[in-house]
Amino acid sequence: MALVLTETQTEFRRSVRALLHANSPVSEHRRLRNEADPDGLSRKLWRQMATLGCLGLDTDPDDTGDSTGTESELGGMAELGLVLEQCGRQLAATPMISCILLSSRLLTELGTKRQRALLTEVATGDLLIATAYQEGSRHNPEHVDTVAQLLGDQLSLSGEKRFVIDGHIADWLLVSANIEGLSEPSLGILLVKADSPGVDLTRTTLIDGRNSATVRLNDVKLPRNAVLGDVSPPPHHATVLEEVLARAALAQAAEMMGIAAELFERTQEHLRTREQFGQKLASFQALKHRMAHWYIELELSRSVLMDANSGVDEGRDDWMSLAHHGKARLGRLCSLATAEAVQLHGGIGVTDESDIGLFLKRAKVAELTLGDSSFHTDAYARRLGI
Amino acid sequence: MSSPPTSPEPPADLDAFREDTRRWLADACPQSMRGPVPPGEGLNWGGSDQADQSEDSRLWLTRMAEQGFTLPEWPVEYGGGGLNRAEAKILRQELKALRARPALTGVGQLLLGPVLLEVGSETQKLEHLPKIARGQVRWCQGYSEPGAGSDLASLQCRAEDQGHHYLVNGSKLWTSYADRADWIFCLVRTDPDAKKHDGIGFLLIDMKSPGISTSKIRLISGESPFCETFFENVTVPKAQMLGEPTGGWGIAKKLLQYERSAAASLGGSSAVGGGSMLELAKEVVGLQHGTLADPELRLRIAQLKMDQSAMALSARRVGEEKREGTVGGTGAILKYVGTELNKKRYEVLMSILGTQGLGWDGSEYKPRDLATTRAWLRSKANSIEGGTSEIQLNIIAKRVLGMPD
Ligand SMILES: Cc1cc2nc3c(=O)[nH]c(=O)nc-3n(C[C@H](O)[C@H](O)[C@H](O)COP(=O)(O)OP(=O)(O)OC[C@H]3O[C@@H](n4cnc5c(N)ncnc54)[C@H](O)[C@@H]3O)c2cc1C
Repeated sequence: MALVLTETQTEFRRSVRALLHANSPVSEHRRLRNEADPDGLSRKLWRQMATLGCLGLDTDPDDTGDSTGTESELGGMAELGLVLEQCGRQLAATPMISCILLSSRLLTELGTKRQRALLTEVATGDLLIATAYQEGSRHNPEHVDTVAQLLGDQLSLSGEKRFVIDGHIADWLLVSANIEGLSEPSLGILLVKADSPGVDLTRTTLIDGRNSATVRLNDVKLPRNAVLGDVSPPPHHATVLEEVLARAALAQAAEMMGIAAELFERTQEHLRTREQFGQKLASFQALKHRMAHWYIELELSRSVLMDANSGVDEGRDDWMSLAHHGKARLGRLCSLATAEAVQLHGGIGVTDESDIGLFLKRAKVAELTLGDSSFHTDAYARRLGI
Repeated sequence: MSSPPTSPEPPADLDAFREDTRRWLADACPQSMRGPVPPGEGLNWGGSDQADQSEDSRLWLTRMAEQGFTLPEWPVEYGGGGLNRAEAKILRQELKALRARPALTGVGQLLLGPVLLEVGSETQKLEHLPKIARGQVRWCQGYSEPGAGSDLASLQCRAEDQGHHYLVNGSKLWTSYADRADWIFCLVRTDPDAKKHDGIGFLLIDMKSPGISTSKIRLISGESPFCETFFENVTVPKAQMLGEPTGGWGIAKKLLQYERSAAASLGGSSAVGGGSMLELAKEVVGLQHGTLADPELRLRIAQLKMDQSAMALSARRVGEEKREGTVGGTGAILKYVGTELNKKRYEVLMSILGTQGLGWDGSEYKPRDLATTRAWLRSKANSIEGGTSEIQLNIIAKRVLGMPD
């Protein structure tokens, strides 16, 4: 794919933008936060996004039926990126990353036909699935202490998962665990109903007003076909999990692109309006250079993201490297963007009344979600073979 | 200007002074006033509103104030301790050894006091300094306005000469703790026809004066420490003008120097809720083959440590130069370096905490981590308050390097 949008994509972006503008202005995000909304997001918006086909973008149309009306030309990272970038601009709180990029994708890649049947309801926005993979305070999917013990036809699942994005409202959970009791121990992803006995979900409120959950699993009894795919031969889900996490990180980077671009435009507008020393702030050369520098970083990032998205869609050999580059770069871009936006707004930038702080907080969560710049630079270096 | 009286005690008695001070402090300092300030608790800012201070904190302030130890080097008649430099140093050392928290802080003690001491009339000094030293009056700073931030001298808040009093009208923005302060020092326009720097007065105003109101502004960290302050036909006695009615700008700048050197000291600390950054990193990130498991973060921490050390050494050099009387341009860099460093320090802390630093509240997060996260948000203002980083760079370029506007 060329590094420009096709006509269909531009049209799709326009529809997404129109939908989010109308239904999810930043003030809506502020309202959800101020009212400490138990969901932390709008289910209505989620269903509206379903109608637009956003929720089926990462699944096989055969699994979701035709109900979403997704056009065949659409359906890939490029489109997902467009949706998420727009979410970033509007601070729209949606379960896009947790439910679509992570859970739908894992089900699509690994699920049996019976398990994939859940995807129909996911695509309509009626069912939410969260993925519980993280155990410590950093992104390290290989660190799994959670155990699924196989005893005959039953599994017993125990462990603790942290920072499970949207886990507080999930109907189902996908849980990574070491399956024990097979010929060889192996990592598997298990499908668990969130209200199963032994599952304890504790909602946690994050700085961006959204929610995640701590999931405590205490001897949760499951049938052996709760494991995605099949348990015999022993599943090797680790590689697929790594790939799905890399794709999700890239989508997260697209949201960050939206945040950085929105902050840029808002700051530019502020500098053009605010006067000190009898002139517009935008007329000070020191500030012009700061904006020019920021613009350069934005443009570099955009090129990288577009290429990474098409790299995924085309199935290029190096797509994982591209994804790592994307998330690493966008983490750094967001550090720059949030620091500049706050600083160049002056006092108003550190008030709760201004939207700038809402972007700053969301950007920090996004930066640390699915691996920070340090993690992804390291992963990139590994792929360079150094 | 009167110079502080020197202590009657000859240097030979310094050991005795240390002994006495140590013994007194050991008795006077409540246990809960030793060690780091726990999350959720704040230092004592003095003033009539002591509601958020513990019994111990009030007691500690009272005891220290009785000795004049809240402002040890000030003259006794103004509420100070009348100590000479060597004694004051001993007091600092003994307080540090006890890990005692400051009994009093705030803009009265740190910013206004030193300026009053220098330029105030005898009556003004006798009226205000002892109350500052005893922590009886809490002050706030009325400089900025909606239209006057970086361009402070363009301020509009008006003080009209009405014969025996001034009539003040206008508003101030970002007035920290105006809602809890007893008095405010304000920059006001006394002569609207003069050039902008020449028509400014420095006025001391009782916050209980009729016509003053405040409205709180919330910060991104969730606290509401600053306000917009409104003045509507506020009557202020003329005796409350500090210096000449049109000489306020010079005083304002003097005070800013104290403010900036106080702000500069922010970046040096590496404490987090009682522990150190290095301990936190080892606890949260963990070690692998004897070094921090995240190699990039490890280098960022090391870089930060180097920067902190460079900052501390420069601050020390400025101090030594001052004593030698060979003041160079280094002092002008400290506000910029200290505040930028503090922001960087909190960015590093957030990277260390990872997702466990993303909580806003709730039992799933440690109080230490929640407090660090709020402090990270608060640190964003450091390079804005007290004159922005950009303005500091302008000052360095212009005043130190002599570059044209
Ligand atoms: C937490 C906090 C507490 C505060 N407490 C007090 C208080 O108690 N009392 C009080 O009086 N004030 C207080 N202030 C106000 C503070 O002094 C001002 O916010 C500050 O001086 C900046 O002014 P401004 O907010 O209007 O920003 P602006 O002056 O509008 O600046 C916006 C941006 O433009 C940049 N800029 C402006 N001019 C230039 C130039 N010539 N060249 C290059 N860049 C430029 C600035 O550096 C900044 O990045 C406080 C502020 C904060 C954030």
